[in-house]
Amino acid sequence: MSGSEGTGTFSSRWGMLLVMLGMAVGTGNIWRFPRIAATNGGGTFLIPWAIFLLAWSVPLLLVEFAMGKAARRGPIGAFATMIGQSWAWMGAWVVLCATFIMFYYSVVTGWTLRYLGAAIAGELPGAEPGALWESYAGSGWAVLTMAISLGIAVWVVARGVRGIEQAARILMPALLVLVVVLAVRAVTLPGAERGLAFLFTPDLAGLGNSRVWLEALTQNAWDTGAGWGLALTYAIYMRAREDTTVNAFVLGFGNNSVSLLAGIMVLCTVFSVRPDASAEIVGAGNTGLTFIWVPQLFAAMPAGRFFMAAFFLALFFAALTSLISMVELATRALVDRGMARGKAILWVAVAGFVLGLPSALSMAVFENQDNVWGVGLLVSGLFFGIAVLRYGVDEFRERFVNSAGSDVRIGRLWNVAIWVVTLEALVLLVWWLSQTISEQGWAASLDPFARWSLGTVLIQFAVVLALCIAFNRRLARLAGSAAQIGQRS
Amino acid sequence: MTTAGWITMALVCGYVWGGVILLVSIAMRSEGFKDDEAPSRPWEP
Repeated sequence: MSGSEGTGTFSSRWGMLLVMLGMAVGTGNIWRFPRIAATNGGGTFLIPWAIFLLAWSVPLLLVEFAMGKAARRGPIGAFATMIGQSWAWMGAWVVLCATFIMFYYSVVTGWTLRYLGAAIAGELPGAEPGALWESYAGSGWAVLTMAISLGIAVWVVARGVRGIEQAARILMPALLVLVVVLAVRAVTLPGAERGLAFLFTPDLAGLGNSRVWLEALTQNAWDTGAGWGLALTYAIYMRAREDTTVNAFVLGFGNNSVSLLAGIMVLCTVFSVRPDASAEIVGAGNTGLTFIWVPQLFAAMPAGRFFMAAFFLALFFAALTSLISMVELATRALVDRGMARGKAILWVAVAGFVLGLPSALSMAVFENQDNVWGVGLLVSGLFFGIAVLRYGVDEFRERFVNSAGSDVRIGRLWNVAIWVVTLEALVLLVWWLSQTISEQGWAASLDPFARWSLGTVLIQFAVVLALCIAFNRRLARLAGSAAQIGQRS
Repeated sequence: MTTAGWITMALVCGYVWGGVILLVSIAMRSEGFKDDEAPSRPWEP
């Protein structure tokens, strides 16, 4: 019996692509990309960012598409059936990492919902800049908006894969239209060319700075959703005849297209409205830029209230569609273990609310979790690379990528890309280790209770990895026989 | 904006947005030739 039976498939390729794009396009595109591009040299940053689209995001998305479509199971089952049951723990890591992100991402989605309401009601920017953020973040209202956001995502997932597709068919075109309208408005503001010049003018000497390359790789890793296990989960519901290669490319390029539009939108607005404070604005962090500065920027432009509401609506749609994919991933992991889908969704909803509470009520917990599981995603990406290398890159490519229904054939260059992706993940992890130690010093970096320390990351990783490995046999038991998909011994 | 800025803008936007347009057109063209009977699990006969 196919693992996808009883849960259905996407109705069309375009429906599937909209769902996948909804997964990939999130707050990372709209609030993180413009800030990271601006603080890493603008045009200088865009060159490695464009390279890593092909040297990180697309190869990993291709692996996820192929694994999900072939195994017709979530990450735990996919790892166990493709490279052996003793490796199910790697899939469990991928699931837990994305699920821990879900716990605090529902809080982020709630923030965007609160600010959408505030923009519509005319509460923004308020008499005192940032006053709403100060009174709202970490309050009971943040719990309420988190619960509403999680409830909407759970409701969509409970309607099955066709329900997710229906939601994406409404939310994604609306999001794309909003981002295009906002970008067009931004470039037509007086002085917007300063923002374009800042975003696109390269300093070739800056390409010698390793930090620019590593930030470009990190941005690709975090905003395309490659290596999270989310694309793998949605690929379970791909139709039998569906292509993998072109779809993975469309997803990677489509996601980065939205990032580029968001960069133009934010930087042109900043440089047009407050050129004197541009450095302070882009250096204010994700929440500072979005929830403190953006309301002030929009308030200072003609029809600002309308465009402010459009901005927060786009941000809410982007966050919600990503949250939906995380809820589906956690649900699918339980369904693969034999739990009824309705019961699995209920478990995810309750766990999502209870374990999201600490992040909703404390910015310290939120920032800690964002830091820990953001790094965890690099480990997830590394595991996907290892899975393909262990299976055999040539055989994986021929059997699962160049499979029936594929629009194009992928050649040996993909083998190189998989090796490069695996090495990149290792290099990035080593860089992060050395950077953290050099910035914090040995003693401070090993403090397990500090918000940003190496110690807090390592201890949480150790606990989760130990649990995954300890329960590996139980996790793998229901994952199915490796022989089902011709696992290499 | 400098000439280098305009060139970078054309290259990056052409690469990313042009890439999407090209890829979607490939997908649209090939979608019409698909056979629903293709096996979903290629390792099965």
